[in-house]
Amino acid sequence: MAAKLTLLYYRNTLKVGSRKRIALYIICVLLMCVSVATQCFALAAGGAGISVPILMYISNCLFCLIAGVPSAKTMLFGFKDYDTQMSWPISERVIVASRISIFLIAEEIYAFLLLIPAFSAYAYFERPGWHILPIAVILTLTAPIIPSVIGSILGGFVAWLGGKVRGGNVLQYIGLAVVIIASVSFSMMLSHFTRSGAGSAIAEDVKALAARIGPVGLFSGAAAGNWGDLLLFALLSVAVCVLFVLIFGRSFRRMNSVVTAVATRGKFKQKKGLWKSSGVLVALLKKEFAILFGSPLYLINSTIGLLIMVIISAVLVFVPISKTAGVFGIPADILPGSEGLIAYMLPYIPIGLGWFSAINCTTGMSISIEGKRLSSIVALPVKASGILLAKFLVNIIINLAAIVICGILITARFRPPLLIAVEIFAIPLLFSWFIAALGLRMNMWFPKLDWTSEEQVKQSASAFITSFAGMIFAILPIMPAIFIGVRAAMLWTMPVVALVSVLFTLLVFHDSERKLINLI
Amino acid sequence: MLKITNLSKSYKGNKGHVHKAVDGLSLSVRPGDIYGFIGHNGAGKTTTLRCVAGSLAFDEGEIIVDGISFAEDPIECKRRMAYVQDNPELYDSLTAHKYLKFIADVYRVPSDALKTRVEYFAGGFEILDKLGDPIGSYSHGMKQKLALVAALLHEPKLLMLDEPFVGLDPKAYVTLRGFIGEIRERGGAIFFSTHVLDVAEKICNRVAIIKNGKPVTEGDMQSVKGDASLEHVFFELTEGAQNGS
Repeated sequence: MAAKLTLLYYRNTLKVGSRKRIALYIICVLLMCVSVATQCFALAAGGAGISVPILMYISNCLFCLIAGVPSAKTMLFGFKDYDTQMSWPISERVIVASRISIFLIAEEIYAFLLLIPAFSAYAYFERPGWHILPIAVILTLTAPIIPSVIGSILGGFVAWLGGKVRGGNVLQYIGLAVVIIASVSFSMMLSHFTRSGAGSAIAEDVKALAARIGPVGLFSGAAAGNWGDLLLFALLSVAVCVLFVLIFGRSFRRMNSVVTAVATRGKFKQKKGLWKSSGVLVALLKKEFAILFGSPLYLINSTIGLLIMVIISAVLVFVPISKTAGVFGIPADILPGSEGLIAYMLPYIPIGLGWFSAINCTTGMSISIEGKRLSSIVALPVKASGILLAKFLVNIIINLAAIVICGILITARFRPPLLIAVEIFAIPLLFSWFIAALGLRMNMWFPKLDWTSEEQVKQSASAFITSFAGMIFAILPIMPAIFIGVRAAMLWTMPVVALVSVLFTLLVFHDSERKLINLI
Repeated sequence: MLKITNLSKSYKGNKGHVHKAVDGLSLSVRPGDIYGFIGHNGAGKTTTLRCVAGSLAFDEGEIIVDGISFAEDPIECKRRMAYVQDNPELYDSLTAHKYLKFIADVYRVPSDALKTRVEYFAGGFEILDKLGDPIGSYSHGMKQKLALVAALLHEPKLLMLDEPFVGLDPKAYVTLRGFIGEIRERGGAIFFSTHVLDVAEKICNRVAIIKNGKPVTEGDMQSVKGDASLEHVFFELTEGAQNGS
């Protein structure tokens, strides 16, 4: 029965019939695979060996954890057909099992993306024998279970706590931010591992880390060919999942009531200025921000890069440059002394900030998140271009806020030359324009309006393709920088980014009246 | 107030199958009319209302609202009317106050008039005290009332309602009838779909019965039903037409 419910969800999410959408999905997944495989093969070629799949497993764990926390509120609780499902003569545990299965299937895609290239690289360089094939399959299938369940528990707890107290949404954001900051810190630590020396050094570091964390240790043993560890890892994963369903299933209804409860504010009082009118665009913008801040999943998914960008900027400013340089992979021995390091890092900072701006996109989900309400919005006496402009501006405004914070911090700390100072503000802004236009166009191409859980919007083709395209496009200046230097690369690539941004903006706003009404 | 001429709308299915939801529909709603739009489920009532509201593109035909062609000036047409869906999808994260303010800003309702109108309409539906609460905390009926308040704020000339009485408590039903009467007195018109034939018979002065996207009959209530009840006429026309076809 749980499988049937899961299937029902995915039939609704991945409606068969859109070949274009499926083809784009596959292209993105393949390109991501190539990107991950390049890193894995480079590490394995350096002698990292078994550490490659372990590193990718740890990355997968972090990903599942970060994804699990905001997803819990919409995936486990408060989905639109909750009442219908609860009215069916099935156990609550069946519903919990189906919800966690839905989440696990989504996370499995990323496990495949990370672990298959990792095991391939390991197998290619280390030649462990054919037994690696079943091991890799079992480990890939079971890898996301434990971190996803932990993420769901944490997310469930944060959502439950949020439902218990007034201003619970704020608490949820704080909880989510703490998990993200912890994960980013851990990720930076991993990044330090991979860049601190040759492959063999990485192997030692990773093995030391694996020994300290139970499931990672088992994964490590299993990947190395220990069948006992493999069995234990698989059993532990399944047991964690079953326990989650059994325990969580007992209080599912009660928790759902708390999580989905909306606190009322008592008797409404008329105050002076309460009904002061504002312009149409301002009204539309306010509505867009209310939707963004009213949905933890939407907010976190579309602003996580900005949060990381601000954290990293703060790290750059407040942590001594000699320490941060190592974390960011800058060889301290090339340019000794903090002045040299600053000079080395500065030209790359605008590109880095640009990349973080490009991985944030509110617009990739902003039409889909309207759901069936889009019909009412289109019926309002507002031009379609106004509706789209408000969605476009939300992305620009939140990016601008983060860019200004980061820009001021960095320019105040490093006092860069005028040109770089301008780039620190202008390049991320350019990328945020690019991603806002791209996201909106993608969402108009691939809208997902008939969702029953916000998770479906997050998993939609538009959101997936936009975030992927942002990641790829924002590293565009880095490739030529290797050959022709940063300055020349910027000179050539920035006009391209601007041109593409203009093109997508035109595609969004041209004939928008017809395009928007045709989405319904 | 509203003139629909030869309106057609088709939906394309997955396998190229085309379903004609509205097929050459023509009708006119005059100022002061309370016009009932009646038909089976899937007859094309909601599709027609959505086409007029501007939330659905149509294939053929012409829609004129208060003398303005929808094709020529859709924004002005929308400004003169209001549409309330049968199952209003509102923004759960917004408070009702913020939602009403959003709607008022979009329809450019002056601030001084807004306060008075909110008190009048929201007070009438007994939700004034709850305007500070998030819409997510509202029941279905309260959401329906809020959607009606939002629709009435800019004093539309044409009020279109899709199954307006479903989900409303008896007191709210009476209140809505009062507001409808006021629009009529101002020279406006109400165009609404319903399954509740008793209500249609009681409050409408004109009626159209549609089946499979085509009008079966249209006109003054008295001329349509004659001495029989509307229910009797409805079944005779719709079931009879089915048997005949």
